[in-house]
Amino acid sequence: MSAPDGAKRVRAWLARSTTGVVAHPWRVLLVNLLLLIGALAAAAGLLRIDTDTSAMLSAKLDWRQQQINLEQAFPAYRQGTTVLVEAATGQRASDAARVLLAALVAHPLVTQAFTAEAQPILRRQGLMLMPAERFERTADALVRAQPLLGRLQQAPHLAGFAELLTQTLEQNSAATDPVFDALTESLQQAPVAAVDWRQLLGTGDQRPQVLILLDHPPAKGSDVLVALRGVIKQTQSKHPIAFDARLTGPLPLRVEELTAAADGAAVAALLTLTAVVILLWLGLRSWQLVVASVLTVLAGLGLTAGFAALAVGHLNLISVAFTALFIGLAVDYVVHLCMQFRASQQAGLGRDVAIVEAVEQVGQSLILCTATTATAFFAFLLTSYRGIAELGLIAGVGVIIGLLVSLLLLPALLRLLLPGTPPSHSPPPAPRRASSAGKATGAIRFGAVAATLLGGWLALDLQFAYNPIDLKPPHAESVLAHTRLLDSGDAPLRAEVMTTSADAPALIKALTALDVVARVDSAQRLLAENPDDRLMQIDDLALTLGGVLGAPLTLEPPPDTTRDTLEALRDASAEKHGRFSAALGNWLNSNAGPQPLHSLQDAWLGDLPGVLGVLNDGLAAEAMTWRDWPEALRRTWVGEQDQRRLVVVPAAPLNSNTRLAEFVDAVLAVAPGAVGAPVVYRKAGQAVQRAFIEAFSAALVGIALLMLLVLRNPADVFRVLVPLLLGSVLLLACAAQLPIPLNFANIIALPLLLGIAVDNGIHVLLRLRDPSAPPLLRTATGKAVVLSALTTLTSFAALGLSTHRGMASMGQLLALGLVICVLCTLVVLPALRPKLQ
Amino acid sequence: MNAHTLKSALFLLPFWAGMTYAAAPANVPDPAAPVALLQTALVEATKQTKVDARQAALRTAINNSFDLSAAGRLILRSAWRDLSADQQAKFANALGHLVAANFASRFRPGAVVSFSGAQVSDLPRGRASVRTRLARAAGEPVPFDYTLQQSGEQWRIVNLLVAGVSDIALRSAQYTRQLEADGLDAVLASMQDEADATLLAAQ
Repeated sequence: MSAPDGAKRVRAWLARSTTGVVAHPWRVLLVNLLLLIGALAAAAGLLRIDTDTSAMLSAKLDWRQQQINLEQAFPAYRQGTTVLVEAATGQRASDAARVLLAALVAHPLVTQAFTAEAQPILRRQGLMLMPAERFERTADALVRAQPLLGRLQQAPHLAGFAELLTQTLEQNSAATDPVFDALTESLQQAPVAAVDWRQLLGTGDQRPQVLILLDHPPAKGSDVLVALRGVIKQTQSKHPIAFDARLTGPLPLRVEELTAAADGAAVAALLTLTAVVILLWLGLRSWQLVVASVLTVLAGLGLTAGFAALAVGHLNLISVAFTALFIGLAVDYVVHLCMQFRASQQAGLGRDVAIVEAVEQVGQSLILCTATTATAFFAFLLTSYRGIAELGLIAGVGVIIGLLVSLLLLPALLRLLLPGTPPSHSPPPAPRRASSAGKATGAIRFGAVAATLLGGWLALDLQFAYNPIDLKPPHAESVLAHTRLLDSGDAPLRAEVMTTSADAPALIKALTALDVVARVDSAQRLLAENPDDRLMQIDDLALTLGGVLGAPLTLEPPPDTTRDTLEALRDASAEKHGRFSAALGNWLNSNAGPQPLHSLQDAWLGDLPGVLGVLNDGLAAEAMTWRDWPEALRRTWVGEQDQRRLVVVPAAPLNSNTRLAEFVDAVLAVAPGAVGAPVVYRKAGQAVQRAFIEAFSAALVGIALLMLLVLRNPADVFRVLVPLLLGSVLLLACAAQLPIPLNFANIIALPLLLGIAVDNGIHVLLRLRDPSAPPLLRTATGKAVVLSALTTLTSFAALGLSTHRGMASMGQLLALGLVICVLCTLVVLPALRPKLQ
Repeated sequence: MNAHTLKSALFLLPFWAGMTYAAAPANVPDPAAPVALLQTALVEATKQTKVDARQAALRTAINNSFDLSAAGRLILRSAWRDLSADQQAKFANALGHLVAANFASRFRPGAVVSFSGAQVSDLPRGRASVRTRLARAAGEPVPFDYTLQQSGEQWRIVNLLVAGVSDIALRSAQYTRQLEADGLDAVLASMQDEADATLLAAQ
C-alpha cells in the first residue's frame, strides 16, 4: 500500500473503536436512540417539500430578477388558483361560472375572484373589442338569424320555435340550414344535447369553458383546495345545468405534485425496504444480520432527515430523492460489513472477534468510499442550482451519517442480536487460482474504447424536457385541466414583457411580425382599433336587428300544442332535412309525456336568453378611453409607474420541447427581457444543464484528487474513474435513444451515480490489489458489490414506479445507470489491471 | 331568406278583411311623426281600389317618412361603401319602389285595420324606436315596431319590424349574397321583378 503508516493507523483506530462498541453495545444503542428521537422530531416539525422548480434557481440570475420585477409590478392572481368551468355550451359554462363565482366570493378563504364573463364592462364592450373579421362574421350570422329570433320573442317556447321552423321550410329559406344541422346533431345524442347558440350566432366566447381566477391568503394550500372543491360541489348540486369545474394554476399544480411526490416517495421507500429485506436474506441467510442491517439503515435515514430539517428546512423535487439514495448507499456499507463478518465467522473466528475483524478489514475502504462520495455530493454546493446544491449538502452529510451508523451502530446491534460463538478451528478455504480473465483484457479494453466512442455519438441526440408540467402526475386534476387549457388555445404558456409606454408600440410590432407569435396582447386589448367605425357598425347592427332582440327573452313552459307542432315540423322537414325529420320522428316515438318536452326545450332553447342578453349588452357598447376602464382591469396591463405589460401568445400550443424552444428563442431575440412561464422553463433548463455540468465536473475532480491523496497512485485513480466515465457515456447514450429525455429532476442521476458507483470501484480495486485474492466474484467483496448493487437497484426501480413523472424518470435513469456502471466496473476495471501493474 | 318571407311575416293570417282607421294622435313627439304619416297613408290606401294608385300614394308617403339611403346602407352593409353615389341612389329608389308595392298589395281595399299606440323610446346615439300595433277585424293584433334616426332636422324611419321580424335583416340576408355573386344590376332587376309580381298578384 502506498500509505502504509496511515492505513495502519486507521486500522488500529477502527479495531479500538469497534472493540469498545462490542464491549458496551447498550450505551451505543442508547446514544443512537436519543439522537434518532431528536432527529425525527425535527424532521416531523420542520421538514416540508417545496416543488417550485424556478425557485430552486438562484434569485440573482438575470431572468429570475426580471420575472420577480414583473410579478411585483403586476401582482394579480399570480400565485392563485384557476377554476376551469366547462359545460355543454359556452353560454351554459358562462352561466355556471357566474353562479359559481358568487359562491366562491362568499367563501372566507377567497380574497379575490374574477371572471371576464361576470364583468359588465367586458360584456358591454365585447363587440367593440372583437377583431374586424370576426365582427363581420358575427354580424352576418345575427342578421340571418334575426327573423327566427325576432319571431321567437312573440312565442318564446318550444311550440313557437317549431312553428317558426315549419314556416321557414314553407318559404324554402336557406338561412335556417345551420339551425337544422345543429338540431339534428342534438337529437342524435341521448339525452338530447344542448344546442350551442353562441356558435350558431358567432357571439361571445365560443369555447364551452370559462376561467375563474382566484386569490387566497397564504394558508395551507391543501386546505384551500378542499374548501374550493366543497363550494364547487355545493354549487353543482344546486345549479339546474350540469357543469364541470376543475382546479388548476400554480397552487393546485403545486399541491397535487407534492401529494404525488410524497406518495411516490412513501411507496418507493416501502417497496425498497421490502425488497432490501428479501435481498439481504438471500445474501446473508441470517435473520439477525438482516434485522441489524435494516435497523442500521433506518436509523441513518432518520438521522439524515433530521439533519435536512435543521440545515435546509425543506426538500425540493431533487433532494426528495435522498431517501432512495440514502437507502442505496447505506445498505452498501452494511452489506460489505455483514459479508465480511460472515466470511470471518466462516474462517473460524468467534462473534466478537469477527465483528472487529470485519470492521478492520472493510472499514478502511468504507471510509475512502464515504470520503469520495461525500466529495462528489459536496461539489454540488458550487453550482447556482439550489436544487442540486441542497441535495449535495443533505446527501453528503447523509453518507457520513451512513458510515458512522455502519461502523458504530451495526457492530453494537450484531453484538446484541447474535449469540456468542467460540472460535472454531476449521481451516480457511484454500485460495483458488486467479481467473483467466487477463486473457480477455485486450478485447475488453478495445471494447471499452469502442463503446465510449459509439455511446458518445449516440448521446448527441439527448434532449432536455423543459416543461415542468411533463414531470407532474399526468392524471392529476390540475394537470389535466392545464393540458385542456393548452389545447383549447387558452394557453397558460405565454411569454410576458415589461416595457415602457414609449417602447411598447415598436416592440408589439416586432413581436407580432414573428412567425411563432399569434398575437401580442397589451393595454390596447381594452381599446377598439377604430372605435368610431366600430361604434357605427354596432349601431347599424342594432338598427338592423331592431329593438326586439334587445328585450330580455324569458322562455315559457312548452304549451299543450307542442307535440302537435313538433309532429308538423317532422312532416314539413321530411323533404328538405330528411335526417332531421327522421331524428325528430325517433325522438317523438320514444319520448312520451310532458317532461321530455321540457328537456327538449331546455336543450334547444336554453342558451338563448343568456346569448341574447349578452348580445343586448354588446349592442349598447360605448366609445371608451383608457381612463374609463375599472382600475382592476387596467392594472393588469399598466403598472403603477406606467410600465406596460405585453403578453406574447404563441401561434401553436407549446406542447413540445422543440416548439417551446423555438418560441422562446424567437421572442428573446426581439425582446431580451421577456419572461413568463415558457421563458422561465427554457432558461431554468439551460441554467440547470450548466449547473449539472459544473456539479459533475467538480465531483469528478474532487473524487480524483481525494483518491490520489489516499491511494497515492494515479494509475489506480485512472482504473476507478475509467469505468465510471464509460458508464456515464453509455447511460447518456441509452437515455438519448430510449428515449428518456433529461429533465429538472432526473438530471441529477449522473452526478449521483458518480458518487455511488465510485464506491464499487474502490471496493473492487482494493480487493484486486491483494495478489493472493481469488476470482473477484467468489470473494466476499465481489458478492457484496453485486448484492449491494441489487439493493440499490431496487430502491431506484421503486422510485421509477412513482406517479410523479419527474421522480419516475429519475428512478428509471438511476436504475439503468447503476446497472451500466456496475457492469463497467466489474468487467472493465479488472481488465485495466494487468497492463498497469 | 327572400322577400317572400316579409310577405308572410307581414300577414301571416288574412287579417286585412274589414279594416278600420284610427288617426295617429296629435302632438306626438317628433320620432312618431313619420310613423304617423306612413300609417295614415297605409290606412288611406285601403280606400283606394286601384293597386297602381295605392302604390303611387304609398310611394310618396315612403319618400317622406323613410330614410331609404340609410336603409340601403344597413341592408348592403360593408358592400354599400363600394357603390358609387349613383348606384346607391338607384338601390334606394328600387327599395322604395319595392316597399311601396309590398304595402300596396297588403293593405287592400275594404280591409278593416287600425294602428294603435306610439310608444317612443330612445336608442343609443340619437336613435329612437316607436312601437305600435296593427289591429285587424280578425286575429291577434300584430306588433309594428319602427326604428328611426334623424336625417337633418327630421326623424326618418330606417327599419320596420313586423311581428318581431326585421325588414332590413330579411333583405340584407338576401341581397348581400346576391350582390356578391351577381352584381348590383342583378339585384336591381330582381327587386323590380319582385315589385312587378307583387303588384300583379294584387290586381
